[in-house]
Amino acid sequence: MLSASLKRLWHKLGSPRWFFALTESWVKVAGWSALVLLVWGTIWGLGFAPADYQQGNSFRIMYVHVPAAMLAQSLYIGMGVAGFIGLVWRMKLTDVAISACLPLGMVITALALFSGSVWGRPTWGSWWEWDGRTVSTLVLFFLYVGIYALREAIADQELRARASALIAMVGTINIPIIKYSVEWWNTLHQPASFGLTQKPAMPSEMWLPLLVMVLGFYAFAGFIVLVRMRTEILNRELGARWVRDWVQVRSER
Amino acid sequence: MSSLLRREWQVALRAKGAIINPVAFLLLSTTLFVIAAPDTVSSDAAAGILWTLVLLTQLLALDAMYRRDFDSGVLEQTLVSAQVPFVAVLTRIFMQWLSTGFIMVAVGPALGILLGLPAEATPAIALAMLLGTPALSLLGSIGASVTVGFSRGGVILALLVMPLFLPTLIFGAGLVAAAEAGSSVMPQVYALSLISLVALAIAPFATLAGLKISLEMQ
Amino acid sequence: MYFDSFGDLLQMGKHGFYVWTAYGATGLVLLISWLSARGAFVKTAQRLQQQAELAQRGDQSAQHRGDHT
Repeated sequence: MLSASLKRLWHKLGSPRWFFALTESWVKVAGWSALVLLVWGTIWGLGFAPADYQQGNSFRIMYVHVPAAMLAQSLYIGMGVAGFIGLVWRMKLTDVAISACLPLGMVITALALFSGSVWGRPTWGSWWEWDGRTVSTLVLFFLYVGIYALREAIADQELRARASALIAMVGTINIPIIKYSVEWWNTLHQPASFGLTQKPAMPSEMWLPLLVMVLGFYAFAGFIVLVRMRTEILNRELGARWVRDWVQVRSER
Repeated sequence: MSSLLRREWQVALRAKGAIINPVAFLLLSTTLFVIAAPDTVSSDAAAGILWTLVLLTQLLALDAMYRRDFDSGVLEQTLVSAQVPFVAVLTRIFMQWLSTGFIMVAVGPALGILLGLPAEATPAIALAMLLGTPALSLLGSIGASVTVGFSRGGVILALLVMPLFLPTLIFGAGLVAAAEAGSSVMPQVYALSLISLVALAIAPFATLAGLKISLEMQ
Repeated sequence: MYFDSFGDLLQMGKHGFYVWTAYGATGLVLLISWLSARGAFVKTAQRLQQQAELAQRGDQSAQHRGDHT
């Protein structure tokens, strides 16, 4: 009984039409919570959190850098999971998800690298350090670029979906291996620096704004991915009856 | 199974270039490197340079891995007629490794000497090549299978595969450097073996899926 | 507030330039992501609407011609 209804839900989830209807309200929730959380976290982090005793005010960059770095990785893993589901269950929707995560993931990874570089200047004294986390994020960026190039090269929608699902999956399996090996490499070639977030017990007035910002970034990503997915669904289902109905309802409003 | 191996082996023997070209490329690029930056000879960088060049050589060889059979239609036949396509793919990867990675086991130590690595490090270089290059062939095969249908797949292949090569590069160069410094190489040995084993677990399936995609692209 | 004045907030000790660059870049990236995602959605919706209107007009004129004969 339960498994039957779960199975039905699973099939429904794969249906673009059902997904489109379901996410109509989700978009608004995600968008507004992203706005509130990001504004709240930014004001808190910039204006009210105390300065770091060692790094001074430059540590406030953490409130945008750390969420960006986390999100960069999550979006790639999200593509890998979507790819896995798409390959195993032949779901159309997963490629829509990959196409939505890819551009956002790329710019967020670039942002993580940029903000890390800007943070590194006052902290490490140089714009670029070959630190373990930096290298991992850089490799992550190349993984994104690879999928992007692959998608650009394949014209057929079905084959593009399968190829990028496969590569996203392989990349995701390799992410932990890459991370551990880069970490190991870093312990051998430790640059003269101190870890950025390895503070012994950050006080709550410092990490609470970070929590708000992390939640804000994830809500924002959810919002963007949903909007992009809905756009892509409309584009792919152009002629479908439900799309025409939706257009009519929308124009009457 | 044995007939498959024999066929693959005959193909590999017929295409002598497949074995000689990578070695020639490796020697040539090492020479260029030493002439451009003479200070790297006998320095700490030598092990890293050796591995980087091996990586690039492998990358060049990968582009041709499925190309000829793909163009001639043999690949499609093989996949259709093989009782277990999985085994056919694994055989092909093994043969590719024999003609590149396995050769590196022999050529690597010689290059190490050219690059000024101490003679005591030569067994370590051979060991690093033996444990590390399977991962290159296996992971590379995935990229090659997806890009074989493109008229110009080389750059995309590099973009897809190079990030995945990074762990092998790190521990491969690390093994040689550790041997040079006289410390234990066991951590690197374990790491390289693990990386190659993980690659072995995913590569045949992923390659098979990739080849199917490419064949449909034709 | 942690800072004594608005000037202090801008200056952030010696780190104002870095902090504001990082936050500015973040704001820009998030804004562009939002605008481009929204722009694509609006464009698609408008195109669909135009198509629907064209189809409707086509139907009406066909009906109109039908009345004539």
